[in-house]
Amino acid sequence: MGFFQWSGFDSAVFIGWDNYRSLVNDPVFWRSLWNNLFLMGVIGFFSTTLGLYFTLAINKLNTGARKFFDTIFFLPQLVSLVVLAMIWSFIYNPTFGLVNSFLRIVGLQHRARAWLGDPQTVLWALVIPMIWYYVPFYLVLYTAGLRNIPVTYFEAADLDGASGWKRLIYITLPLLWEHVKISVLNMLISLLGRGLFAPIRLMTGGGPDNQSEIVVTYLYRQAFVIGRYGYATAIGVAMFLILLVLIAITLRIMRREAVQY
Amino acid sequence: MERIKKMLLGGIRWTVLGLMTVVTVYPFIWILISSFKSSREIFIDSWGLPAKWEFSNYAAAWTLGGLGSAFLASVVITILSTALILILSAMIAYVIARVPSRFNQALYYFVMAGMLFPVFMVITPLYLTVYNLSLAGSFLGLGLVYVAFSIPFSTFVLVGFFKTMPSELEEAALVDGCSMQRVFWQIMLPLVKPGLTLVAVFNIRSLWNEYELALVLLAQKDGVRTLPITLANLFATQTYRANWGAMFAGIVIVVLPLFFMYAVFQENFKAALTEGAVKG
Repeated sequence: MGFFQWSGFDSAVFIGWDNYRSLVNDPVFWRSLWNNLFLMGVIGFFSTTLGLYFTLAINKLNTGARKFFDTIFFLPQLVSLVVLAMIWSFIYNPTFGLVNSFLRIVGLQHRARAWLGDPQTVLWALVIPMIWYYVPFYLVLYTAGLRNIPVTYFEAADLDGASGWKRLIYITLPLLWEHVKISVLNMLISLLGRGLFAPIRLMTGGGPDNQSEIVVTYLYRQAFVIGRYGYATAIGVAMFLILLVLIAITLRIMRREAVQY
Repeated sequence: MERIKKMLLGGIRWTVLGLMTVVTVYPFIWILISSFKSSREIFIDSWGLPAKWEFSNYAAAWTLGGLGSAFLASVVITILSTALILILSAMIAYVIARVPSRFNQALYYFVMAGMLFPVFMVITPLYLTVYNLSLAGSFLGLGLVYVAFSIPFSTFVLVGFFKTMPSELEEAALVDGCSMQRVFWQIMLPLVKPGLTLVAVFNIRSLWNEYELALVLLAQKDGVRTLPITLANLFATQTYRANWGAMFAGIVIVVLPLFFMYAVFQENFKAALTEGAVKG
């Protein structure tokens, strides 16, 4: 379908590579791809590191406290992305939102602004809800991985007097590597796909002025608002190819010998 | 020195954990409290408790923009789709895991190939296909697509469960003259119940929350809306109207069923999530 000019309901016209040629010359597409990569990088970095930090921090507590935090921290994963978008739009709301009213309380009212409407802050303002949503996800994933590591390894390290950092770098991380890898791949797939669609569509609509447009919101607009189905399909194909390349690069970078335990 | 360092690290850890707890929980509490406030109060005082608890917000939310009927529609479509997914993928998984045939490997890869494609890559052709079948704007069309999209992953999980079951039970039953159907329904299916629960929890959570496919395939047709779509529509139009309290109440109504389910099936939720991570 990427090779057709098609408004969907009349007959399709074969136009060869034209859709792909316009795609390469489409500044909004590049803008949305760049935004997408930025969001992926920042959200991915913070959610995986924070997820790992909280996994290890909770793991040090006694069983009761561990159960408590495990239960509480999971809650953001229960809401849908639509609800996530609504909750955080309210939090960012310029008049009654928590962020601005907090700033007013502590006397920083001159910092208050429309966080989602300001091209300077919009991308960073989108990062925070997503981290809020994804940290619990990685927490669960890493906790499951950590449970598979035999306690004897840590006991042996303790006997040898290994410090906390050494334990992390030489035992925990290598043994959790498969889980970290899965989490990074998962991050790529969901943030280039449906993971950011509802939040961006509802919180900013891609605005202001395409500053927060991403690939899937652009695809949706082309197909279901403007009716350029052929062009939208071409975006979909390009997206899939980009995803494959990103996955290949990630696997390459993260490749290391499997640790047996 | 060592003791001081340990105490300091412990202190930092507890501070960070405490902060994270507040950041995680407070938005929910805020939504809950605001759902009992009048619109005016929401604007004046974001942090305080309501002066008068407005339970009428919930009644308003239920009728607002058809949230109530969308709630029922979402319940029905989630349950029916999940039931169909469970039956179909259990059958496929059983055949793949247990019936010796050389087509099985091919069948397995064929089903698994369905997991490869991101929804957005195929969403345009998918919409046009559904439209041409005259199923656009209908719950039936959406439900069928839900089932089709969920079968690969559900089958993948269940194949794993079937493979770990001992084959002696089946063989004994077959020797005793039990038919293949009965072996499946009465012996094997009860054995993989943990797997079925896992798959059910996974699908209920993702279908109850599903937005993108419903948005495209239901084509914004009047009266044919799932809960996430209705909520998103309300949100988009509510900006210009004034019933904010009802809006917050609406969020509570949507989130509550999953919170209850989580309270009961906590471990299944987490296991489903870990399994789901492989698929993305």
